[in-house]
Amino acid sequence: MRPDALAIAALVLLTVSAYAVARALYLRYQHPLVQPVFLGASVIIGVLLLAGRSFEDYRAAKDVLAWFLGPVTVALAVPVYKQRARLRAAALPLACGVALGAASTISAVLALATLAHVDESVLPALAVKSVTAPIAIELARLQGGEPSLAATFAIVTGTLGAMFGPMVLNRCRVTDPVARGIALGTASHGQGTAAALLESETAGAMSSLAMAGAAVFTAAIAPVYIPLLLRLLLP
Amino acid sequence: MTSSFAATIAPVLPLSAGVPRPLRLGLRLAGQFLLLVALSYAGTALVQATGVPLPGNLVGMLLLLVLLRLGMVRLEHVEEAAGLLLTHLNLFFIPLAVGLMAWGGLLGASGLGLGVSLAGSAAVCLAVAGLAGQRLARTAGASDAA
Repeated sequence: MRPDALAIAALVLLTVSAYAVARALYLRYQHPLVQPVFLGASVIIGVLLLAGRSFEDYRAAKDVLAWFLGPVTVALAVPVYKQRARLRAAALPLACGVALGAASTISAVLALATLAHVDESVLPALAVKSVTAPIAIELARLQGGEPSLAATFAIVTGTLGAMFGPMVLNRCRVTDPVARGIALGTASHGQGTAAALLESETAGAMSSLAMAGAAVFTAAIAPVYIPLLLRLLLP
Repeated sequence: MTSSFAATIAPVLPLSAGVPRPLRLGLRLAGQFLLLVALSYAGTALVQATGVPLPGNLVGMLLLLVLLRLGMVRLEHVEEAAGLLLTHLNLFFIPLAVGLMAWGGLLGASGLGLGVSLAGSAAVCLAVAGLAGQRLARTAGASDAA
């Protein structure tokens, strides 16, 4: 089936509207259930299911909006550049926190998924779940994983980190705003950064640097590290 | 150096005073957006040409960082469009999350295992990055500087 331009435009408009409503609710209530990605996607899935449609009917609209992730990722250079002075002051904790965090989370997710007997074909997409979705898509493709699945895992990870990350950090007695920002950005990319920004400007700035750092670091080690782990974990 | 090629792409041109303000803002945003799009495609082309195993859009981001650093692109050539896109970052994630419905079978079969793996590994990452960052930030005195 080849959806016409009008149907695509209607679905894009529906997505933008669902986002606008969810964002307004989130700015007001900040409850996990009105988190814009969670609520927006739930509304659209609901509408599609009620109309008896499948994801295939939505795919063209998805492609239109997903195209924007290219320029959006490039735009991430702007906050990083603006915070370059702060980057110099916190370079060591940032570099070590990001490298250790990113390496440990790749190992942990693959080990846990293997223990839980998750299907092997899913593992490459799962391994890159801590980087921001547009980059996770590309990394998964390079690792022979399924791009849309990688995006889904990245978004679930981002939502989980935004919802529960601050709580985990309190439990671990991480009180320093620089360290909290590093942890949230490394673990949960953009959505973690949004949560860090709610805590303090310092945490938010460190988090966006950590998010970019985690993406670069993960992209750099992925071609060697992920196949190595998979060989160790899978019989 | 500062007014090199970016100035010709991004319309920071002195538009005639007769152009209404909203239209001027719109044109400026469109020009800045086109620069971001061009860099994204440049990153992809660079990756295809060199075969470096990096995502094209990530290379585009590094490219912009280098251009800003060299002064070939100035902050005002990209700042407004970048800010607008990043404010509404979540919008572009929604269609990807809708893709979840295509994986209903997989999630039914191993949803619990996947959930535990994702949540557990996120907690590990938060603890490791947070504690390492905190220890080093204190020794480096970065927390006072920030």
